[in-house]
Amino acid sequence: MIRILAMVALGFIMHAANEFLPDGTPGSAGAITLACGYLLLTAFLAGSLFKQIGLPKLTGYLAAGIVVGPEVLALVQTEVLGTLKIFNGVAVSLIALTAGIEMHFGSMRPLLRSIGWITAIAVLGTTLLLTAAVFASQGLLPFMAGLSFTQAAAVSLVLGVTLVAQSPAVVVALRDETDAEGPLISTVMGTVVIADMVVIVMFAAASAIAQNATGGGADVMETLGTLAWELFGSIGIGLVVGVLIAAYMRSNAGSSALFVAAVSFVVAEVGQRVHLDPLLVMLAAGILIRNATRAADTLHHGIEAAALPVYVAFFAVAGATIHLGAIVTMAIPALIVIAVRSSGLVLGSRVAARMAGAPEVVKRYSGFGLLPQAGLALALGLIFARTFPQFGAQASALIFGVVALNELLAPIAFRIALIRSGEAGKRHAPPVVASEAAQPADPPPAPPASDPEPGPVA
Amino acid sequence: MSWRQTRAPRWGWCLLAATAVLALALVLGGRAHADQGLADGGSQPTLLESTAPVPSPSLPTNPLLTDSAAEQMKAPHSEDTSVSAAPIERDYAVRAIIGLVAIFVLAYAVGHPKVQRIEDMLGISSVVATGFVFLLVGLLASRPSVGVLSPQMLVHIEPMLPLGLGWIGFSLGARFDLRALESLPPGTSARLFATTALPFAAVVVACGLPLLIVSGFAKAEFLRDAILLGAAAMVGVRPRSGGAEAPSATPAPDTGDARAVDPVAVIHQLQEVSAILALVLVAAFFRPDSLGWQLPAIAWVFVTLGMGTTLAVIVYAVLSAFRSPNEVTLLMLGSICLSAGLASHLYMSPIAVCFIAGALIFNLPATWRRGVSEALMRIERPIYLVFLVIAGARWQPGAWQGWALMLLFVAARLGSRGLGMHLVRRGDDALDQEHHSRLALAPVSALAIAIVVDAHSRLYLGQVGSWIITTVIGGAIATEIIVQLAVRGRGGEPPITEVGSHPGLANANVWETAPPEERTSPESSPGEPSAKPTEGKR
Repeated sequence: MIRILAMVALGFIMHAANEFLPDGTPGSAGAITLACGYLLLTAFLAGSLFKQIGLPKLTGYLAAGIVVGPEVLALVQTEVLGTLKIFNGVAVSLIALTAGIEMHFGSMRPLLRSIGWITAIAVLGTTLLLTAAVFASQGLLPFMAGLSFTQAAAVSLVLGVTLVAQSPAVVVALRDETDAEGPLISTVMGTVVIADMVVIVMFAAASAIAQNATGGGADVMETLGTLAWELFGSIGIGLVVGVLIAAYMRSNAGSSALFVAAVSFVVAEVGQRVHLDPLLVMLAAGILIRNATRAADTLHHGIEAAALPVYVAFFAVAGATIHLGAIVTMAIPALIVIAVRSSGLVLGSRVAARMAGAPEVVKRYSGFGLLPQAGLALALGLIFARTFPQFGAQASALIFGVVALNELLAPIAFRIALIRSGEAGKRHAPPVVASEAAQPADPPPAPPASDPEPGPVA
Repeated sequence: MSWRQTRAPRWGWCLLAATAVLALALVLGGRAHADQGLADGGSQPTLLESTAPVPSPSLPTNPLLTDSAAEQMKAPHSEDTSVSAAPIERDYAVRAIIGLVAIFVLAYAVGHPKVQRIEDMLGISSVVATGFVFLLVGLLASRPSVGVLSPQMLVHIEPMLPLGLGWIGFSLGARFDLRALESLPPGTSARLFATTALPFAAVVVACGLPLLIVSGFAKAEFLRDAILLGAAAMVGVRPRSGGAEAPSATPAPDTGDARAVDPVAVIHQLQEVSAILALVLVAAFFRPDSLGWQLPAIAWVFVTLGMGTTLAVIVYAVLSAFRSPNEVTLLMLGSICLSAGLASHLYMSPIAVCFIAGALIFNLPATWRRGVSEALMRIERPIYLVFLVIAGARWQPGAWQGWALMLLFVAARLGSRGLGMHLVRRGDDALDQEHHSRLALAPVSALAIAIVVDAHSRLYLGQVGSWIITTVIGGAIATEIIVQLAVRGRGGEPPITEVGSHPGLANANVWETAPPEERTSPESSPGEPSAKPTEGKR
């Protein structure tokens, strides 16, 4: 009750603040600070409410962003959101660093086979399925009218690649929220990270093909060169960043949160300007820290404090910038795409895991971890819109609609999968006795993830 | 021992791998990237934008921008596409990296125990040693010739300014103990008058006259500026008091136990309250014309009080529902952002509103106070340092008028404090000679700088505003030098000033011994100041 009352009170305060200046008055630094504080508090309170009803916290963050954003209550204005998107870069960097820290090659070696097969069959296979689905749905997509067969196929391929993109951010957030540990979450995290890189490469290639097909005239060598810089340059600089972070940790572990947040900010801001991918940079840094230093656990503990506000702000801003209108205008094609995508990823993962001889939980539930979408798909959609100005805006509406629905619904499905798999709550659980460690064919349902908050019910 | 088992070869291999990959990337992609930039004359969308693109900041309507800064902002958007955007971006990236690395190396260095020991040995207050350094960093980084903190970058990080101001205010409020007002040590009124009212009046008169000559009587702006300088003159850096110097205890009326209130700490807290009250009045009576709601000036005082109270109630209610350190940190960050942003947006003082909120929250009964204190202390220093950098970036020390005002400011402040304490010392047995001297020769507090930055950032803008910032910053340095010379000249020890250089929770509160309900063992020594605000039943 307290939380609901607090959210209502905060909403009234925000409304009063918005009434202070006439419409159209440029936002000040104070307005941005105000919006940031309001989003943090409201999203956090909403997340805790959602958790109490069994839904993921991050769905609460997203829902709060949607409700207070420009498309519903308009308590947070569009202009202010543009500035708050600075959190995106820091959040992605922190998430990538966290994901990289989790990737211990030694313990992941048994899972590499599963990861490889799932990426090959589920991700690549679903890409082809989505391409076919978009191509077959031409009649429902106004922006594809007038395209020749070759052009339609090429554009469908680009859209198929864009729509298959997953979200390491959501996977990491749900892993932290449910305290999950085990082969399922490790396989899913490894898969989404590697699939991200595969999707990026495929997008570059498909985009070049589509540009040539539509008369854009892309230079293949130039594209390859740029891509090589963005991939290998990001990894190389990421390794250097990892060395720097580890060196800092050796002498000053106490203030690692601030240092890492600052490094994430620098990487995000500067990386964009020199065409590096902050996600790859920090991922490489995290992998190096985990596999070549002893600072990984200390660092992970240190960045937890800095990570929570960044995550909350990231998902709240993401929610506030969701294009609800796109869901309405592209409802039917979006639902078709979601159905094809979900089926492809879930079934493809099942087949791939069976072929790889993965544990039962991986066979049954890994596909659900590939369902969430967020930043990468949106970014690719924006690039698509800019690369193909003649129809990009309309096509990106389809992408945004699909991503919006997946952002809201997929985390719920994955959270349920983590709980049912029995991996939720295992991360900080007492060690299991060896005789009990054998994996049953059908693991019994696990109890809900432990609630760290002993506070009163709202 | 194989290479896998040694750390040094592992580091070497990592560096080698990184270098090789980077070289490969440069060979394959760098040339194509540069050619692409030259051909297009603009930055192409990256293929790997896994974040949404950062929007181009619109030219801010900030009159603080000098002409040169405005020109620098216009240059990247030039119509001349023969100038490639790619080298400009790389140049910016290199500068930004160098600048930010320098800032963090500096932050690490000034926080190092060895540096702090040198500060203590020299008796330099951290206001100068730490605060001024970061102000200087911000000033240099924003110069067009350096270009690390370009106007575009400042637009992005400017929201940190209200946050920093609000954090300072909240921290001050958090350590303000209302119970200390119940049993003020004898002689407090006289000391307060000597160290607060007298310096305020002296500085207002001394600086007000030249400001009147410059600004004229129109809109009474000279009075506004003089009051701000007077408010800055009231607060001083609090010396670190040790247990051996504790004055005599005063029996507590209800428990009968001996409870001692540090009279120096009480004076400093009342000085801070007085300065913030002055800030509230300036914000209410000297608001920018025709902006937002049109209310009588006195109504804005009540709006300030009401806003602080409302926010305190909401935050207090929310804090009671969460326990984990990370969640409390987030709640504090969000609450202070909300409070400071709201105040700044409504052209009120973030320091004042957050002070009220902090004072109310920490003076209400609660069991979570220690956790909240720890959360505040965890991130107050980086926020404060970033605030200093931004304040330095906005500082324009070139005008001689500011430095001339500084002379009057320092003379009036020190002269009036010295005279006042001299008059008060007769018959004042509660403090010894050393404390009297330190109250008279107190260096300028970081709150003084925050007050003028607060006023300059939102309440009003103008040429005189930058003079005032110069006056207070220069006054802090000059006062520090004078205090050092005066104390050493008398053969005394340099004063050891407050930890952390800013009015934060790291400083002791007014109690020399813990209140009865906080004592855990009979061996707790009297006279040891507690490091955090007290909690528990009040």
